[in-house]
Amino acid sequence: MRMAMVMALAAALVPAAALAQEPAPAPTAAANEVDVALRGPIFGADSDRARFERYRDLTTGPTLERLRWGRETEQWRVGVTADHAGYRDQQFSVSFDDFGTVKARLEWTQVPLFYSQDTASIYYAPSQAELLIPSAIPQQIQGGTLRLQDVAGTGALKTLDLRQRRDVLAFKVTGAPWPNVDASFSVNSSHKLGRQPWAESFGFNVANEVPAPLDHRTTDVTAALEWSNARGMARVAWDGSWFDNAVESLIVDSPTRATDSTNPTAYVLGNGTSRGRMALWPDSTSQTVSAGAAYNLPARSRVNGMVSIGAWDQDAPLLPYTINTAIPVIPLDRLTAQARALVTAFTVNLVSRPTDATWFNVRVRRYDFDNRTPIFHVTNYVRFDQVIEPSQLGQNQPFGYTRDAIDVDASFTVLPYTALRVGYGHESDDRTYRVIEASNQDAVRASIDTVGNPYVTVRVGYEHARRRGNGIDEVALDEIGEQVSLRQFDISDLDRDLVSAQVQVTPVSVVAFTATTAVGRDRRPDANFGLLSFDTTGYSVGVDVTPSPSVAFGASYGHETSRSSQKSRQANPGPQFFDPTRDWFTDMNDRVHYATANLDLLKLLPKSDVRLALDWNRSDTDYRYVLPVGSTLPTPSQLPTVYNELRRARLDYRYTVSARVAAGFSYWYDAYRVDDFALSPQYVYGQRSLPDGLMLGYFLRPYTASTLWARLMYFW
Amino acid sequence: MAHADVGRGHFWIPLLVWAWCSAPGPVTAQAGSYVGEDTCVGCHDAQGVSIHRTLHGKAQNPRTPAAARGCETCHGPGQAHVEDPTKPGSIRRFESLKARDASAVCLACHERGTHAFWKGSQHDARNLSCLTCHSVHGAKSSSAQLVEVGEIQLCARCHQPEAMKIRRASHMPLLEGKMTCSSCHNPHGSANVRLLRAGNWINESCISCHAEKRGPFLWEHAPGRDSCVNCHDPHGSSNDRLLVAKLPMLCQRCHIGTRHPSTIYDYANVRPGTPTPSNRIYGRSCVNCHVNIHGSNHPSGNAFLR
Repeated sequence: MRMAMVMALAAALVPAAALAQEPAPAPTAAANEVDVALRGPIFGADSDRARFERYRDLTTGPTLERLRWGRETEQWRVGVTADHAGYRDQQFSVSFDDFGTVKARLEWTQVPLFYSQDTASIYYAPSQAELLIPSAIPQQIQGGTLRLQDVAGTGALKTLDLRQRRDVLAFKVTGAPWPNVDASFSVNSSHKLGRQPWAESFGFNVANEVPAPLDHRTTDVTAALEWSNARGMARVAWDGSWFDNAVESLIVDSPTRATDSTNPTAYVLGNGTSRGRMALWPDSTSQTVSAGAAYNLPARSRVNGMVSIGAWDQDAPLLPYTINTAIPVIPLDRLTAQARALVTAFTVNLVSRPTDATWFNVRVRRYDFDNRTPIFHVTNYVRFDQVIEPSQLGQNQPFGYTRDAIDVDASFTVLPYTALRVGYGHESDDRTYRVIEASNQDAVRASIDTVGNPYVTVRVGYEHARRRGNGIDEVALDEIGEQVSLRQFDISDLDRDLVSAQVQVTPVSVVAFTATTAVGRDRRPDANFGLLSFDTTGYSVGVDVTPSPSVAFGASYGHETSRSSQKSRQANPGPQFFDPTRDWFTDMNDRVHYATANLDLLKLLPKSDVRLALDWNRSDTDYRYVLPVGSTLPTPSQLPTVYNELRRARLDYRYTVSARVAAGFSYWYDAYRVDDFALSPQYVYGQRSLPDGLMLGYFLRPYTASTLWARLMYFW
Repeated sequence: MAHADVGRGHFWIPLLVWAWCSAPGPVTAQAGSYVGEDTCVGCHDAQGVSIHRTLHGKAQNPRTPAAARGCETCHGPGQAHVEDPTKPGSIRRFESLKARDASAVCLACHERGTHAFWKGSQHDARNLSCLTCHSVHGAKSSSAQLVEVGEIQLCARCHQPEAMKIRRASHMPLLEGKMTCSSCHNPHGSANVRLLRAGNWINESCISCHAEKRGPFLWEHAPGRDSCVNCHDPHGSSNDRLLVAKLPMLCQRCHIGTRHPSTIYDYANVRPGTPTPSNRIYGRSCVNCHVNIHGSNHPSGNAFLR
């Protein structure tokens, strides 16, 4: 985790032009720096500010954009950092390193997630666990004097900010109590607070989107001890994780019913329950002990391995089947979840390089998710809090699985700088409660890698994989009402071919050209229904030019396509279910274009650094319904193409006033264009209240934003 | 009879063991005398300055090159090089070493902690060396001594498709500086698949941040328990919530039973002002109702409705 945070910090320090993000200044020899700014975004009409600020806070005002302070001697180093102080995406850290003895780091980070500034709801929250409706709307709908689709017109929807924030406090200390021993201890506490789009439905005809509360904390603790010397390494560790949710259930009023009732037509609007109750994330823990070791063998060989044994527990109290008072209480099979999984894993790796030109590797892996949750018997349950219905399966299905894998690879240095690798992998999976309970996958692969040559780098790889299942339980598919020739794509038989290639040419040290391509083909030969095929094709080209230390230019373009085909059969129970003239296909075709460019001019003008970065991508996706010849289904009206487009420009200018002072400005241009038949307001979802749903209006909407910074930097 | 057959077919095993044991050992320092760092920086002043700005140059730490033989800890004894700098092989030049030979020098110290699984890792298998990504004397990054200004740029050198995906409309906060590639991956090798840093399977990596989805739950959604990437593309997607396809099409890849799962939802269900809207396609589609799709703890949650 510490490494991750160091890396995250490193990313935050990266010059803006290269990363096309933060307007960070160029690296400077000075260790200490403070960067203050006055900034603010200007939005175009009808812009979606929330999506623009999804993971950041660009509220107008002064900001301590960046602080770096450090002291260093030959014996120790201490550092303090601060970013975006006072805003929702602020981040602080303190680090200390007594070289070779102990190092510690404390970091506090906030990661906002801004969903929407104009979602709207008829609910109010008297407590975290309740969303109630104050108005007479349910009575009017129950009484037939108001229709659900007219709720938005009553003015009952109140606008709300829908956002959450993750606050992460991380601490890690690593010490070297003895020359060959490292001990480390870390605590990571992550708190999520806010609201997110959620749903509590009251039947097929009443989808009901609600702002669900989030208030949970995850605390992870790790303690590890590692010994190593030139011959090998041994490590033991303990990881504990506690997830605590302050809101484990949510009571939601039905917008369509004021009094409880139940009857076979309870799914009809106006019938059924007055409120429902939903389980949210339950408290859980996981405890894992692990041990790893490595030993260097003769002939430049090494064996390393790791074994890990863990227990995941979740024993939250179970809610009643319903809180609909018109439905008699159904006794629970037990009062708490008693959910438990034992998770064991091991990896053993033997790698050898007996000669300069040969390299061999064998890796054996097992991962076992042994779900020990006792069977929970269910004769009848309550659907949507509305109606008692018999359980189709009569019990829960504590899904578990075991994966065993072996990979054997050999690499031969056939030419200078060039290695040819061939490999074989086999994986066997055993699952419980899946329609294919076992499968075996074999894969062969080969690659050629030319690395280290100053003029050219070439990487070409090919892999063919074949997965076949055993023990297909078509009866189980029939029992759950699926077509027996359906094959669920994650476990179905599969033939996969992947080809990738990359060439980088550096004819002279100041110019580099890069080209990449990747092609993938998936076929599912055993599937008559479900996902049948998935193909991807992509390529990219790029150039980087650095004619002098003060000038750098780069540009790249990439294009990806993915196509899939899946098959279904539109049917009601009865003869339709067996009627092949009711078959239909969905063909997906996704095309994505990317382009980036950057230009850095450092001190080309006196005392001035200019950095410009451009970034564009656009995605178009078609979902086309295809009816085979002889179909008896009505011709569908095709869905419009889904597209989204992002355009970003970053311009940073810095003028060096003196050795200690610099001033400058940054300008960001951001534009997002989107058209999504399901989530854009120009489609039916924009009505918020519909005949079959009451929605928050968590829309996909465009934005255009120009953000300006006036900046002053001081170095010492 | 049986015993004799067993032995006869495996005569090659001791030969193989002998060949293996007699093969060359790890990269060792070249023969020759050490001249000391002062001599090295007499000609290589810039490198002498750069090394002392890094942790490699802090002699207080007994594990550093500075605490051992300085420059010659990594480059080998320098006497022959001092005597004839033009002589090939007079000193260890990393740019002329094979990838695994170069790495072996670094691994002499860095084969512990997060680097313990480098050998045999995917990057090792593809002939990468430490120097592919790191530079001891000429790093461009502000930490980790990378050859690019940042981690994302570095990984993008080879992983263009993933680097492009993080720029899509639905992405994790990498461009915003709150995550980076190594938040999830350990490029130096890992006991997990796909060089994932945390845990021992894909899902364990995901729940290291999304612990609410850990469970186990009373009702499990098997494909989700099996692998998060069945439905999500963590690198980025054109679809909301990093989904690999839009709903309901994604769900209809596995759910085609009678009535609503197997029904075509077309433009007539979403067009503005339509008299036949369907909550199975507009908004968040299937999860408008099946909201606890990652698992439910409600006794009536078998279909993830509660």
